[in-house]
Amino acid sequence: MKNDLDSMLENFLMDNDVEDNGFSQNVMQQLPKRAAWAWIKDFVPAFAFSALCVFAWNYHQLVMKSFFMYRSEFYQWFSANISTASISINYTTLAAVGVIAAYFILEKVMHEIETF
Amino acid sequence: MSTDAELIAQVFMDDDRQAFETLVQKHQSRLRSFFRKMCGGDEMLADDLSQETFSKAYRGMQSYQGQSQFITWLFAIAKNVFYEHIRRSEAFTDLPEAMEAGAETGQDLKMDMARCMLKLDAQERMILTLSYMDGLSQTEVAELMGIPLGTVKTNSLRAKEKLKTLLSA
Repeated sequence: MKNDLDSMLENFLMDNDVEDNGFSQNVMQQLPKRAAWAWIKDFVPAFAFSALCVFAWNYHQLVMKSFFMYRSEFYQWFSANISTASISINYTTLAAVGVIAAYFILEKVMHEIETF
Repeated sequence: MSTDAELIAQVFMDDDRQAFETLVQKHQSRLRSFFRKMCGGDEMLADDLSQETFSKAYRGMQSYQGQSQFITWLFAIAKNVFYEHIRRSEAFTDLPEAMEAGAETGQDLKMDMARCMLKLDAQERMILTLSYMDGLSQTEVAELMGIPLGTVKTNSLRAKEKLKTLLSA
């Protein structure tokens, strides 16, 4: 035999008839907009991740080169290349940070628009 | 009237939007009702989350294997949409003002229940809602939510205990 709480939950939760009232039409109209937004949400992190990979690859090359070189050659190479390497790292880092920041700003703006 | 399987095949094979709209019409009531219960009766938010669920279902139709009913698959997406929403926004703590204001006389018990349901955590609320609203077995709820059966049983019992305490307070 069901107790009071079970009956109350049934009464409260089983009342689930909701009229369509144009909802399905609205869903169909919103499909392209929501698909575009989903694409942006998928694409931006992927782009940011790619930028980070480029950055990591640059750094990786630097580390691997220095690791496998003879010590004296390493110093020569390091002093000859460090300025170029640091410039490339700076630009890539800047791009990656910019993309990530843009993603967060865009997500915040879109969330505000959706909420509004 | 076409079955879900036929409509899904039309959407999948021919990108038939009319067929998808029919699927939406068939299942909107249960899904919107589910979200209304989960969001403390906030109809606008519930409709927005329902739209997002249908939109995700449309985009991910190729991943539907047909092993479960379409509505079960839809609820699995709905669960993710709901968790995604509560991750991004504040937790629901009280009923929407419109619902409080629009309450008819004799609806006090319903309002109390809605308010107490909001005090449960999201997982407990979802387990109770799926079990009672849709009459799913605990095994089906566990499968749908991707959690062990033991967790469903424990959370269901704990949620009922919490509800009893809250309702008697």
